[in-house]
Amino acid sequence: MLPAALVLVPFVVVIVLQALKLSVHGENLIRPETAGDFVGLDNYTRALNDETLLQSIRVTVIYVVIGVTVQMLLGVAIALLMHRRFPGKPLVRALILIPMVLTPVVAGLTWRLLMDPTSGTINYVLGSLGLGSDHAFLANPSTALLAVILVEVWQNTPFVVVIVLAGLESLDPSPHEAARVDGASGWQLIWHVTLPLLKPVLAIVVLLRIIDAAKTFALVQTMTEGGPGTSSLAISSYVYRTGFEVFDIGYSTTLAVLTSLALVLLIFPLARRLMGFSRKVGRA
Amino acid sequence: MKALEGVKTLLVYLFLMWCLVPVLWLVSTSLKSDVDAFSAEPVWFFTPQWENYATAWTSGGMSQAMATSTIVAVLSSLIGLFAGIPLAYLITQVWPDTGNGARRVAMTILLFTTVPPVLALTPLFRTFDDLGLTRTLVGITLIHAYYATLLAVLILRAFLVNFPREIREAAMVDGAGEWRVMVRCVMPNMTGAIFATFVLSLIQSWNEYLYALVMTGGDTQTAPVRISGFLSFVGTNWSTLTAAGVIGTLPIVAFGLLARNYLARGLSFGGVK
Repeated sequence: MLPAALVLVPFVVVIVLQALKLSVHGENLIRPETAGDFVGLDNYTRALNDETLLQSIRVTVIYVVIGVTVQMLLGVAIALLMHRRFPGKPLVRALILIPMVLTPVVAGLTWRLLMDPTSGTINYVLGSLGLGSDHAFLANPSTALLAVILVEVWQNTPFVVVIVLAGLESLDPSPHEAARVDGASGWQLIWHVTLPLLKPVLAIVVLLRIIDAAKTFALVQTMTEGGPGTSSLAISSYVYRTGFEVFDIGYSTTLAVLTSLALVLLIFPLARRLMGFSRKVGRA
Repeated sequence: MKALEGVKTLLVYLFLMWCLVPVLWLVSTSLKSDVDAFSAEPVWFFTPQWENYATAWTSGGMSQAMATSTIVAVLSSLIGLFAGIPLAYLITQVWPDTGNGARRVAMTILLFTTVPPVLALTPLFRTFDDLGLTRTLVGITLIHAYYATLLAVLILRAFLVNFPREIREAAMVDGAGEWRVMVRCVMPNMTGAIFATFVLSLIQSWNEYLYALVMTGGDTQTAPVRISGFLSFVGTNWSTLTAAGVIGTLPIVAFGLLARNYLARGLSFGGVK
């Protein structure tokens, strides 16, 4: 108990007290004399009428919904395809981990290079297919967010594959065999037997992906910095921009408090249920 | 039937290509001259320019960033284990029979994990700045240790929940104290879980960008911060940037692949065995 309390308690105390303090002050980082400016709830009322905050929430929701949905569909499909014997299976299983453990900053920069309007290979390939070779994916407000989501999907689909595949391998094979004896085949087996049995694993994977995708920062920051304009400005990037580019650290804290509160209220009850924390830990 | 199997395998290999091609492109760009790296038409044949790596390593400052990242990742992961093991032991072995304490602690840890890191960004920056801990290894290590501890408790709890409690009880009857039981009887049975936790905390710390960007600077920059810095101040010299990217991810990718068997178990917090 003690060592963990030593690490965790000071952090929690500092975070809560400083967050409350900063959010009711109008501190600007490059003007130290503003640190004591008490502004009451001004930051909070400002947030309520902040168009950019709404936009960043919208961006984050789109990012999470599209990103996690595509990852899940693709990841479960690949895991089902891999759940059998085929040549090179151990190697494939190892190599698909690479995007997942790759540093997100490097993943973002690699795709930024690939998507470059003048020298990017994607434009070269599209050009040679006659689809035009000067798409500025990241500089176009209507494609920037989708481009970042594509990289989110690229990086994290292997996570879904790895866990779902492990889940498939730990399933009890007898219901499967019974259904097969009863004449079920192919899709029927997957849809009516495998997927329902896999539900607990799928629930945890979705949850972990939502928690992770909602705090996306490195990909957005390295690919678009939230731009052009605010078209791909996810919540983390907006808080960072407000605090450390505009130096409005008081308002930045308020934004973080409000969005974090909303996210925790949304996700925590779900997390508690899905991860089996709400039932009492029984004797094994 | 045979044809169907073939199609399935083909689809899996297509997925593998989709995963690997961008990474291979990153590696090949890192070996090109700057002109080839930025040419509109992909250059397929070129003489490897190993000096890109030398440039990134020395004048690009990657040697320092790698040392920093290693120290921060290893130290914070170790702190996470030292703090996490006793707490996980406490809530799964000692407390379960006495009231709701264990459940409350586990729930609190889960709650802290769901809180997005941006909430703590400005409060920690203000505090660490006042304490003179920004731009130091101590500051960023402490923050990563906080997250490593949360991760360790969640993963180790999932492993220890099903650990037979009779072992502890027998040892207690023989007169051993809690710490002794934990170190001598329980920990030797969970080396796999401890290693899985260590691997995942290392990866988590190494790849972390938000706090590293705000809390480190100059010669305390971690690898991701240094790599992203190549974008602005070298005016995007893609060959050096990609070389730095390869250097910066190689250790963690290699380590992740070597420890791959522990990843799935640890990653899902015991959701799959």
